Amino acid sequence: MLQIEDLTVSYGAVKALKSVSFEANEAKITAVLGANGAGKTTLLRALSGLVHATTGSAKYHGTELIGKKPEDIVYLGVAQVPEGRGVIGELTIEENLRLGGLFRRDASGTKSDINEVYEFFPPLAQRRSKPTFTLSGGERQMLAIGRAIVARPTLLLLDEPSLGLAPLITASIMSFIKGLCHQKGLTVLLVEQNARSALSIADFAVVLSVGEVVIAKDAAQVASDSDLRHHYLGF
Amino acid sequence: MHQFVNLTLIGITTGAVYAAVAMGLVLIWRATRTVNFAQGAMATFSTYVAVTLIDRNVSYWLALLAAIVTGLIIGTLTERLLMRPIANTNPLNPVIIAIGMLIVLEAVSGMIWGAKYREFPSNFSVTGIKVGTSRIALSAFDIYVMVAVLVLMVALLILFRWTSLGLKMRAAAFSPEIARLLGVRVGRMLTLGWALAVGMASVAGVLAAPNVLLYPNNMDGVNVFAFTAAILGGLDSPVGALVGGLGMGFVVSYVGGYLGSSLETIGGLIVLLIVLSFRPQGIFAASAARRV
Amino acid sequence: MNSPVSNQDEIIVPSMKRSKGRPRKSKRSAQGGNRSSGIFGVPAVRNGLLAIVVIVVGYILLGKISPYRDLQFSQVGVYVIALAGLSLLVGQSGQITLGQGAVMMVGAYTTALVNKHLNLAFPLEILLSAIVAGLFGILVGIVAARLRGPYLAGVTLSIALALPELASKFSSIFGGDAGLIVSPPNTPAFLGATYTQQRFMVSIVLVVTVLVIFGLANLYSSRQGRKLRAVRDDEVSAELNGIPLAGTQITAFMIASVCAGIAGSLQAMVAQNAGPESFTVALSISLLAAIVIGGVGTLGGAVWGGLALVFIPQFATDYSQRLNLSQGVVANLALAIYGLLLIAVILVFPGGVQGGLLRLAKYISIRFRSRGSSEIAGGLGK
Ligand SMILES: Nc1ncnc2c1ncn2[C@@H]1O[C@H](COP(=O)(O)OP(=O)(O)OP(=O)(O)O)[C@@H](O)[C@H]1O
Ligand SMILES: [Mg+2]
Repeated sequence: MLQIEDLTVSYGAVKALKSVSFEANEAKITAVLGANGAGKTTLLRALSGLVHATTGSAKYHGTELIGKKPEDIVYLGVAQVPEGRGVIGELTIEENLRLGGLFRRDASGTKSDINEVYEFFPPLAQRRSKPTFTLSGGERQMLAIGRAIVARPTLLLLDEPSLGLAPLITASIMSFIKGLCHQKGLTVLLVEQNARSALSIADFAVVLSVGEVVIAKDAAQVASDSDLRHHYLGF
Repeated sequence: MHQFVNLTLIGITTGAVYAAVAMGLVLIWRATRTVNFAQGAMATFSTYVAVTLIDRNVSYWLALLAAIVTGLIIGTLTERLLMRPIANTNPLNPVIIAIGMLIVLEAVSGMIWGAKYREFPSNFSVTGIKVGTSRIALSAFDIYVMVAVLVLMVALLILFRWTSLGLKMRAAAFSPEIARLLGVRVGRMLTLGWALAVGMASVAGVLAAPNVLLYPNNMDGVNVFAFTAAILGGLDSPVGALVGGLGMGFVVSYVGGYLGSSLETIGGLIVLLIVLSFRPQGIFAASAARRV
Repeated sequence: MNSPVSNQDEIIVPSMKRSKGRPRKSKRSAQGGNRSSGIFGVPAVRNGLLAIVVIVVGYILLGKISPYRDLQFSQVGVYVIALAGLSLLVGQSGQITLGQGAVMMVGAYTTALVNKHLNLAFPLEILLSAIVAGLFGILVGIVAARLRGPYLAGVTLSIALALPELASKFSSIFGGDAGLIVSPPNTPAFLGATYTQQRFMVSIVLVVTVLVIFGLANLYSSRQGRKLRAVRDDEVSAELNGIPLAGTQITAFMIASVCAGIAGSLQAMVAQNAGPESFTVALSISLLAAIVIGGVGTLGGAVWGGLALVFIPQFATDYSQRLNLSQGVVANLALAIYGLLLIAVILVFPGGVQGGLLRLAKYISIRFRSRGSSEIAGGLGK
C-alpha cells in the first residue's frame, strides 16, 4: 500500500502540490485526474524521486520514498512510465527493454519478461533491433510500458499513457493495464487527462485541482456522479 | 609498385594510431555526448609519465600500465571537477572546458618536461621486416600497434554492444533522467566513461610516441587527423573509428608519398568535406533524427 | 538545451542619445543560457566602453604613446575585429568554429597579393580582403549549415590546419614558409614628420575597429540579429516561424568571415608580412578562448578578449622572468593562464569579463537606485 500524507512540492515560489494526502491500495488501480497544471506529473515525479518534496511523506510498504534518489527507489519495486513516452530514441527497442531489467539480479527472468512484452506487443517484436525513434507514438507508449514491466515492479506509476493516442489504442492500453493489475497483483497509480478511459478501469479515483485533492472516492462513484464529472472532469 | 606497397603499409600503421585515438573520442562521445578536444594533450601527459619511468629503467609494460592509470586519474578528475558542475548547461560549455584543458595540459607538460623533442623507446624493433632481399615498411613494432588497436576496438565493441555496463553508460549519456528512473547511477557512469576514454587515449599516446617523437603538443597533428577519422566514421561507432582511422592513414600516406607531405592536411580536409556532404553524420552513424 | 525562443524575453532598452536615436534591444548570450548584455547591454557599461575606446583612440592619434605601444594597440585592434565577428558567430548564432584564424589568413594573403600585383589604395586592399574572406565564409557556411556540433568543429579545425599548408605548398604564389612581404600604407605628408608609420598604422586599425564594432552593434539589434538568435535558441520553432535556417547560418558565417578578413588584412599591414606561421591552429584556438574569456555574444567581450590576447602573454613573461622561473615555465605561463581563465570563466564567471562587469554595474545601480535601474533589469535578460 502507498500512503501519501501532507505532500507539498514547490517550484520556486509556485506551489505545485499543496498538502496532498491519499492512499493507493494494493493490487488496485488508482486514477489521478485533473486539469492541465493540476500537479499530476509533479506528484509522480515526487514519488519517484525526480523532484524534491518540501514537506510530507509517501510510504510504500512502510518505507519512506521522499528523500530517496530515483536510482534507489527503483529497488523498492517502484517503476515509472514518464510523461511523453520516456523511451530513449537512440537506443534500439531491445536495448530499451533490457535497460528496464538491468538492476534485477536474475538475467534469465529479465529475458523471459522481455519476451512476454514482445508477445503482448507484436509491433515491438518485429522491430526489436531498430532504433526507437523509428516507432510511432503508440508503439513508443507500448515500449515505455513494456520497459516498466520488465523491471518487475510492484508499484507502477503511469503518466498519461493515453497522451496522443487514437481511441482504439487507448482502449487496448487501458485493458492491458487492467490485466496487469489483476494478473500480477500490481498496484497502479494512473495519471490521466482522459478521465473517461481512466475511470473505466480504475478502482479508486483522486481528483487534483491546482495542487490540492478535491475528490478521493471509488471510481464508480465518481463516474456515476454527473455533477462531479461536469464540474471537475468536463464530461 | 614497391613504393605503393610501402605507402599502403605506412597508411595502415599510421591509420591504426589514428584509429586508436579516434576510439577514445568515440568512447567519450558515446558515454557523455561530448567531444574531448583535450584528449591529445591528456594522452601526451600520460606518455610523458611513461617515458619518465622508462628513463628510470622501468619496463615498457609497467610504464604503459602507469600511463593508463594516469589517464584513468585524469579522466576521473576531469569529469568530477570540471564537467559535472556544468552538466545541463549550454552544450558549448563542455567543448570550451575541454579546449581549456588542452591549453593548460600542454602548458603544464611544457613546464615539467620542457619543449625539446624526446625519443620514446619502443618495445619491439622498428626496422622494417625483410621480404626477400628488400625491407618493407612494416616493422615488428607496427604489427604490435595494429594488434593493440584491434584489441581495443573489439573491447569497445563488446563493452557497448553486449555488456550491461555499456548499455547503462549509453543510457546515462542519452537521457540521464530516464536512466536514473531505471536505476542507473548516472554520475558514476559519466565518471567511468571519462576515465576509460582517457585511459584508452593514453594507450594511443604510448603507441604513437615512437613514431612521432614526444613533445608537449606532439599529439596535435595526430589528434586532428584522428578527430577527422572519428567524424568520418560517425563518432558513435568503434568500427567507424577503425575504418575512418585507416582511411585517414591511407589519405595521409598516399598524398604525402605521391604529392608531397605538405598536402596531407589538405587531402584530409577534402576527404572530410566529400564524405560529410553525402553523410553529414559520418559513414557509420545511424541516420538519427534531429532531436526536437 | 537552450530555452526556447528568447525573443519574448527581450526588453527594449530605451536608447541613449548617443545610440543613433533608435531603440536598441538586449538579449541573452549563448553561454549557459546566462545573463548577458546585448551589445553593451547596460548603458553605463556601454558608454564606459565607448569612452575608453574614444580616449584610447584620441590618445594614440595625439601621438602620446611609445612606438612599442603603437604596435601593441594595433595588435589589439586586429584581434578585436576578428573576435567581434567570432562573438557574433558563436554567441549570437550558436555555431562553433575553430577556424577563425584561418579566415584571417585568407584576408592577410588577399591583401599581400593585391599589394604585390595591383597598385591600389589601402582602403581598397582592406575592402577586397573583406570581400574575398566573406566569399570564403559563405563557402564554409554552406558546408556548416548541414553540420552540427562536433562535425562543424571538425571541419573548421581541418580548415585551420590545412590552409597554412596550402601556403607553404604553393610557394610560387604564396611565398612558402616565409610568406609574402606587404608594403604598408604610406603616411600622408600632411600629418607631419613626427607622425611615424606605426602611428599611422595604429590610427587606421583603431578607426576600422570602431567602424566594425558600430556596424556589428547595429546588426545585433536589427532583424537579422533577431533571426540569428531565434535560430540559435530553437531551430525547429525558428523554421516554423519562417526563418530560413541555412540562410541565416550562412549569413552568420559570412559576417564573421568578413570581420576575420578585415582583421587579417590589417594584420598583414601591421606585420608587413603575410606568412603561414602567423595563422596556425593555435591562433584559431586562442581566438575562441579569448572571446569566451571576454564574454561571448557581446561586442564588449571582443574588446576584453583582444586586450587579453595581447597583454596576458606580456604580463606572464615579465612576471615569470622577474621571479627567475625556469625557461620552460616562462615559455608556458601565458598559455597556462589562458587555459585556466577559460575554465574559470565557464565554471565560475559565466559571461566572461563583460558579463562580470554587467553584474557589477547592476549591483552598483541597485545600491544607488538610479533612474536607469529598469533599463538594467532589461539588459540582464533572464
Ligand atoms: N520544472 C518546473 N518549474 C516550474 N514550474 C513547474 C515545473 N514543472 C511544473 N511546474 C508547474 O507546476 C504546476 C503543476 O505541473 P504538472 O506538470 O505537475 O501538471 P500536470 O497536472 O501534470 O499537467 P498536465 O496534465 O498538463 O501534464 C504547473 O503550474 C506547472 O506550471
Ligand atoms: Mg503532466
